[in-house]
Amino acid sequence: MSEFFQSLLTPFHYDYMVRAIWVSALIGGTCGFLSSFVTLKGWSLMGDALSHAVVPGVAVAYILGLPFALGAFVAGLLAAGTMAFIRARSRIREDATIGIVFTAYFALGLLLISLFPARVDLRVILLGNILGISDPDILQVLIISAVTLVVLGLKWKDLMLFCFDPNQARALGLRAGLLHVTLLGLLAATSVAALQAVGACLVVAMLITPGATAYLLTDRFGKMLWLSSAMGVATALVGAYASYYFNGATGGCIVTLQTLVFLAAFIFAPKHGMLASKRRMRMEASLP
Amino acid sequence: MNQLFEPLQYAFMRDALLVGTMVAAMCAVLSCFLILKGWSLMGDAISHAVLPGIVLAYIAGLPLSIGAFAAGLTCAVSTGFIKQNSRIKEDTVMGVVFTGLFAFGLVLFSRTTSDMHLDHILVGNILGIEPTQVWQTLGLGGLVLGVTLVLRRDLLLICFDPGQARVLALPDRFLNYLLLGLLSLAIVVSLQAVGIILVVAMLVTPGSIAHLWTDRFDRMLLIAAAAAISSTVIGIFISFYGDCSTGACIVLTQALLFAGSLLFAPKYGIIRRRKAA
Repeated sequence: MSEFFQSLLTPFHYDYMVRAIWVSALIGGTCGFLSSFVTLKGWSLMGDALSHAVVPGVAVAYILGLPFALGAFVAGLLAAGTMAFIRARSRIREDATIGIVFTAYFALGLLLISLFPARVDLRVILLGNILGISDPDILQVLIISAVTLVVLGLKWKDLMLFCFDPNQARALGLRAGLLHVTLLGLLAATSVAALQAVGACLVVAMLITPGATAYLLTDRFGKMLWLSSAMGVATALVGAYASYYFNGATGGCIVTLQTLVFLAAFIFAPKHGMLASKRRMRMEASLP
Repeated sequence: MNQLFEPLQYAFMRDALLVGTMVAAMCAVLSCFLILKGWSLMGDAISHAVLPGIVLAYIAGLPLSIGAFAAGLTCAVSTGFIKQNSRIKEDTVMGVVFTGLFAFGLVLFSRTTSDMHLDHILVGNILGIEPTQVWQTLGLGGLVLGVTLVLRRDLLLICFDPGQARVLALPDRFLNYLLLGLLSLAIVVSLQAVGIILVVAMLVTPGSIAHLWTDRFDRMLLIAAAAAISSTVIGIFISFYGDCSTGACIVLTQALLFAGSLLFAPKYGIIRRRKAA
């Protein structure tokens, strides 16, 4: 028995595992916090699009030896700008616009990577590499998380109002345009951090699944923020730990866990779960 | 001139051009329906969701395309189910489901020892396509293309005007599922050429280009197919000479065509609109 517990503790004997676990937890918490806003605002696809669109920025930054966060941030905002431009000036629908722009940006990134294969590793960008994260990269993740948490912590009420009802926010004298850009910037920044942990393909999960799960569990936004952040931290902790046993597929482990938690909430949530609403329907049917 | 045709001496280039043309035509025709129906991102979701199907089929020794097809349909059906039974918006549900499936695929992949290249599944490898796969791609691609073209009137009606379709007693549920099935199959067929991540470009961009040029659906199909096929051929040649990622070259050529159309299209282009205003 004690041998079994010993073997459970082995991941903690490795420095790189311990580092990966706490950095993932930090990223998970930050993304989880933001995810409540993203789900409310209905920006799920924006998260997906931005996480792919930052790839050329990351590639250029690595090729030139700049901090990757800088390149990714610029590319993310450029992509958001391109989407806004096309949507305002053409008859193409929003979802198609998002699809065209993010694939074009991603393809550009892919092209750059294929031209300079020695500088950037495609796999790292697509699937993340938290187990091999370098110290400067950890520093960038720390800065991004700190900025995001501080901005969200100070402005969460304004942002909440903006997500719920932009017109009301404007009527109350809040600057909706500024809030829009703030949220977009935070989204771009956190997707860069999450890229490190889970890779471009799975960033969107970190940015929506905790929020969607919390939304099933509560009606109060304050509580939703706590729940989604806690879920982000917990799943990232356990997922990163478990990835020791799964050949280092950290992103896969974290996001699979998040999806399982979501499914559990979908079925069993006390008020908005599937079982609860079935029960409610049956009760209504049995009433005279 | 001879130099231009030099790549055609290589069998792999001929195969790539053949397969690329088929994939481009098939995806382009489907993309016209998808952008009218607002399903652009359904393609994105399904394409990611096929990963666990591919890995499971590999473990079970089945043809990979069967697993991929099943996983793609699972994604579409469970998205619909969760959306109907909860208060979460459709796009969020889609995001949760497809990332969940993709992540599960990655975990499965990490536990299998295989000679599969994850990179090839993710970004495609059309220049390394095997002769048996060429025939499979051409056959399945021809099937999707044929069914879509034969049923184009019915499919168009459920995309444009579902109410009208029901009035005309069209089997609209069946047609919706058929479109989903065709989409999943098209994605499976295209994976080899452009990979999971870029297949969504093949399924959105050509239709959008055509949508900027014309209001008539038959013409839209032709323009979309022409745009997709020409960018695929150009992309393959560029990647041969430039020694760079083929999928990326194809998609970027398409994106440039889109940008050109956005500016210069005769009726809906920005320049024309500005003159009219």
